Amino acid sequence: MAYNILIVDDSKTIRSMLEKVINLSGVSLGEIKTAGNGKEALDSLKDNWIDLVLTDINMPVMGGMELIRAMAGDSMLKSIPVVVISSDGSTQRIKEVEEFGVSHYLRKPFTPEEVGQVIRTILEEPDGQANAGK
Amino acid sequence: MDKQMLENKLEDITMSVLEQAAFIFADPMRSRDNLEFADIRTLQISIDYEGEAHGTLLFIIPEAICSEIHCNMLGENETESMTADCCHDAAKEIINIIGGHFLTEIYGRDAGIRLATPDIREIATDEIRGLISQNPAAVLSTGEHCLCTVAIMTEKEYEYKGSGS
Repeated sequence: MAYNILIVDDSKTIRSMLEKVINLSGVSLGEIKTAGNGKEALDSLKDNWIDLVLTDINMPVMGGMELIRAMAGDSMLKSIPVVVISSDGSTQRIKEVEEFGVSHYLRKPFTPEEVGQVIRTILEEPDGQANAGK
Repeated sequence: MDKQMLENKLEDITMSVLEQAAFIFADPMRSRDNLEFADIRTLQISIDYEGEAHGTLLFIIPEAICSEIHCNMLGENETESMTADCCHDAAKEIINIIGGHFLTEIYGRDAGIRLATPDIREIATDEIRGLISQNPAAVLSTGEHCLCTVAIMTEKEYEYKGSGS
């Protein structure tokens, strides 16, 4: 099975970094889609089959929290796993995203190994989601 | 937290983020008399924060370092097709990461504080000297260039005694 992954970050540099990391993760890949904010991400989610979303929190137009809330409230999107990758390390924020079912929260700066491990855990070992580290 | 402690935190966070995110190694400059920003196009990347505390962090760097940050973050060599926007985007990401770590380090992980999105503009040497003399600042050297991180805080925020370590 080939997985489609959506990267959501307002930084083109981070989007490119994550694309490289995903390509090296060893996961069987279909397409990697990118979006610069939550609104673009929702548009992409409506038009494409996506297996995993990696999203930043702090973005203009529509932030990551709004995206996560919108996905949680949509019957078609709520089962898609979401990984947050953010510089925000506050417990308030981490608890907030956990309440919406986000299983993994990676703090920037991330290492390629951390991201690769989380992607493999979610896509290839679905039972391991709940135990994965933050 | 006094000014010296804040400056030490700023130094540690800036050095650590530059090293981990962009493989740029910088050391603190103990003397601030010979800041080598003159004759170099220098950029100020600012990020505001608000909530239980508010203020602004500035990342002041020669434009030449922006391209180094961009290339190192992506593991690429400098190319002619690389645009200024790409390089500025990488520098904005660095202050965003510094900001996230600064907030949890200074105010604690339980504080409700949010970062805004970064802005970038050119800055003159005289203005840099003024900012550094009036605010807690980390002044670093990469060997080739100076760079600094400045925390602009109100007196109230400056004396914040939150749960930060």
